[in-house]
Amino acid sequence: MLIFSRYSWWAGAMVASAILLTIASQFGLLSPFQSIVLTITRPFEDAVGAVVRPLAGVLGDAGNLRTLREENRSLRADNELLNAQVASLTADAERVGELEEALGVTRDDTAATRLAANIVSRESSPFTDTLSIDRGSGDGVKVGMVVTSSKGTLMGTVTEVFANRAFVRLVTDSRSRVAAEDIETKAIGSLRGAANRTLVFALADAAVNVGDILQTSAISGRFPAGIPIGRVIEVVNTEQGTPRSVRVEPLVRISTARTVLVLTSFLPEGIAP
Amino acid sequence: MKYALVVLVVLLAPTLEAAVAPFFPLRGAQPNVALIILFGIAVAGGPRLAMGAIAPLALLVAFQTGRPPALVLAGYLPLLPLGYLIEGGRVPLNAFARAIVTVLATGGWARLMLSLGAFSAGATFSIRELGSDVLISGAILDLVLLSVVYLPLRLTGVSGRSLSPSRTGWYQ
Repeated sequence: MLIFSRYSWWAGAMVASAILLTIASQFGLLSPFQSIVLTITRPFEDAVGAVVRPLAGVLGDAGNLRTLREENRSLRADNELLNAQVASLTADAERVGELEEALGVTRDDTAATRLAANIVSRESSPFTDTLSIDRGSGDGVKVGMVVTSSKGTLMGTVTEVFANRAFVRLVTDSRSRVAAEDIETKAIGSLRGAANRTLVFALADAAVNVGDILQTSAISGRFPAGIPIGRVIEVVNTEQGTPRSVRVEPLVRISTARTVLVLTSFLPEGIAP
Repeated sequence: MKYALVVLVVLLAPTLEAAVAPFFPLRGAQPNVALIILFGIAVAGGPRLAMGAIAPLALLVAFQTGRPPALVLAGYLPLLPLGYLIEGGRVPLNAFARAIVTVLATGGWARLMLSLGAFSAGATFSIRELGSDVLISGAILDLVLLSVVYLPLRLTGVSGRSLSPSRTGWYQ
């Protein structure tokens, strides 16, 4: 019987080890060891990832052929619309520049400092969505820093930092909370990850419409304002007209991203410079 | 030689778990590579070897994937006792069927532990996603990976060892 076998002693020892590991993790006692392991294994992970990534890409694309076709059709339509908007905005920018020059207005240099990092691995489930990047405390990365895609769309925040590795909690992780603002209606609310890798815009204080773009709001002090996050894909209103359930699709396709940018010039409130 | 090989496998398995498994997702799950490698150590090298390998393997997997170490260890824990119980059970099963039941049940338990950890850390609880996207999808992936690894070994004549822990010492 199991309870009389040597497994019972071993299982007891393992449960005790698990309890000790929990305590050690709470006090950060494992961090130095984890840092060493991550440093040693980084070249192996890079090598294995370089071999597997192309193969996985081909298999993934083959499995998603129908979705990719639909996405391609949608992107073509978006592209046409965006080209028209770019033309209009370029004309507006030129006009604004002329007016600023005429009025003697000078503009501050608000360019943010960003650190490029490669994605080493991704840990994804319906409830958690994290990734690790090949930059760490040695590169100036700190817990709480904001991470964007290479095009500047919000991806998440740094949650753990080691010497040359950092873990990032993505916006689609259901533990993630981001203060967000609707660009069109200026509704402010809290954006949280949902179980199926979409986002839910909660506590919105004004109307929200399908197709609206959401961006970060500086209201929480954890994100700089104006980083695009996602597009509203579904709004279910209550009888009173206030949004009851707002589903948002991230603008960035996280699964295919390979490079991210860590916003090193912005430190969230409470993080020592 | 046997021990050197096991050490090498224990060092390599977490890298495969962190760098390869995420590329082959099914809905919300990814294959439990390290668990299947641990099962391979148990059937090829004997349960004592696997008993010694489980803690360092769990710790390295946790370090490389960012998962909580205690939950990873607790997730792998039922593998050997469960395999031993099924081996001595009244339902007659062949070696592959025993392997499937053992690995799928332990894989489900391991995913449940990690999900419960996520819920306790503030993740939104959803029984539907837990069932379909994590447990069922994960079981399918583990079944495929186990078949890919296990059947060729059996076909080439490699026979699995019993998961009953012998009392004749650690040197076996």
